[in-house]
Amino acid sequence: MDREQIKSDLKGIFEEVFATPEIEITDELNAEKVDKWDSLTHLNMISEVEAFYSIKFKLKELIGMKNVGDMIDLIINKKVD
Amino acid sequence: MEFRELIVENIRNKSTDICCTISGIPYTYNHLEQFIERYAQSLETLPKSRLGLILRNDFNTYAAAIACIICGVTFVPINPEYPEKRIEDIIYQSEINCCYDSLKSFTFDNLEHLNETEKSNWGVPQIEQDKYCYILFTSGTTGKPKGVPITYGNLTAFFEGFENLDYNVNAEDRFLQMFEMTFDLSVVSYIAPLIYGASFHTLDLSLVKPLALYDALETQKITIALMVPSAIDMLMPYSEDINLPNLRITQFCGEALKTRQVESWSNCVPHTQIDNVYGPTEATIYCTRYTISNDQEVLHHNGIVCIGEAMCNTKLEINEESELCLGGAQVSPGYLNATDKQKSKFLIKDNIRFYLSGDKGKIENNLFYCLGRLDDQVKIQGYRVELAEIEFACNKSLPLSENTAIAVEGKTGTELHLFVKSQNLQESQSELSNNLKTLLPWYMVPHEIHWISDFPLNANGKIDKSALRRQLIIE
Repeated sequence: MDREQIKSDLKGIFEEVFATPEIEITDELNAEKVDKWDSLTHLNMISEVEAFYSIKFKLKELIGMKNVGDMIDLIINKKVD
Repeated sequence: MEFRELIVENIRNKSTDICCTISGIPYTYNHLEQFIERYAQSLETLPKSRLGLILRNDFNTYAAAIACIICGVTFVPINPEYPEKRIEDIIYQSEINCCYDSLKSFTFDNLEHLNETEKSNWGVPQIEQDKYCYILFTSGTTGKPKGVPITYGNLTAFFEGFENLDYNVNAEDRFLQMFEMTFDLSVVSYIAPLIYGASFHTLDLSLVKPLALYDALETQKITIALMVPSAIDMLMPYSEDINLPNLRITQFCGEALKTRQVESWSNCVPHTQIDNVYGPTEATIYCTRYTISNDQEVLHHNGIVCIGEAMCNTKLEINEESELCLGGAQVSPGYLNATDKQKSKFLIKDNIRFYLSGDKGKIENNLFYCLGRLDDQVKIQGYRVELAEIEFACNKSLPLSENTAIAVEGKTGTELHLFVKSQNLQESQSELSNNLKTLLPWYMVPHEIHWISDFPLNANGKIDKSALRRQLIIE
């Protein structure tokens, strides 16, 4: 899967879930950089991403996910599998 | 031996044992002793004063709370991230003139910082049982936080009750500590283990809360966990990944426990004993317990799990208004600077001090059930919230507005919604949202603000909150 395409998909999901316009999706992006990114919206965002790509993350993968770059790596791996 | 002496015995005899891990970093009982040696002398000079404990997620903050409890100094936990006005209220109401801040960066008028001294000998001073051990502040209907003092006698009675729950706690036990220290469930989470020479373990706050919770339960091999029920809801989509072989006791407290939550958790962790414990801050941490039995149906009322029986130092009654009344040695002496209305929440009956909880209750076969509130108080992730305090903050920000706050069950627990009718929509909308964040602690900030042109009214001409709730369900 194309990394840039995933970023473009995530942009739509993030802007919707975090109710924030024009979020710039970078590998380094994390909860500290988006005002409305909290425990609740984080898990909503994860569930939207899972539904969008028809994938399921493992709890340990979610714990190890430090930023959007880690999430994109996981999406690519899961789609290849 | 009283609980403070037991802690000190463990500090002196188990110096190389781990007493806690804070964000994954382990500390020994010796680290605790070293901290107390450096501050005991300064704490001794504060016998009549109260110490503001500025909360940081580090070992020294926990060590300072433990040192206060041992040395007999009343402490008042203060979250420096709370709104400035709230901090000011807490400091003035509790008459604090000295604070401990591990970062030494907190400033407020003439508030002094606790001095570190040369190492000194220290012991367990005799303390009157009615002396305040700590003061916690909860939400108040008048817009001001309400101070609940808990005495050494209250805490001693609680730990006697805890011992009688028969958990057979031993030095190998590892307790979870997932609560902010302004919340009284933290006190049992970090003090109980030290009484038994065991250890407590906090969450890695760089992770989002539900993930940090699971991470701590698993990597710290927690054996005894006290949690709010909503904390596990967010883990349930990943229930098949949950594997916690060490967790022998799970206590739920702080919110109504639902039968579906018991079912989910016992499917995930089949070997754990699940206890529903109940009690308001005014009756010291918790004061009733119901154990879910593996071979019997879970007792409940409309899906809300039974709260069981009173702990050994508590007397439970239901008055004519169907209100749960908690009596006995765990009951606080009453609110700081109480108004007459606040004083009326406490009464003496048959020489026993009672607190009128505001919770509606019933008793069946000698077991108690909590059926919800008799007033507008709600629980958000275990924190008590008076809806009137949110409305008060809204009025402060928008004096000409009419507003009402309501709580509804959302996907992941109770959500707060604020409905506002204002003349001045354009300016108001963005301002109000920002102002509420500066006036209220994070857990009181409404999930969503709804702007409406008129409130629906009921037959008595009052705002029809049921209609607003229905509107939210339709949305």
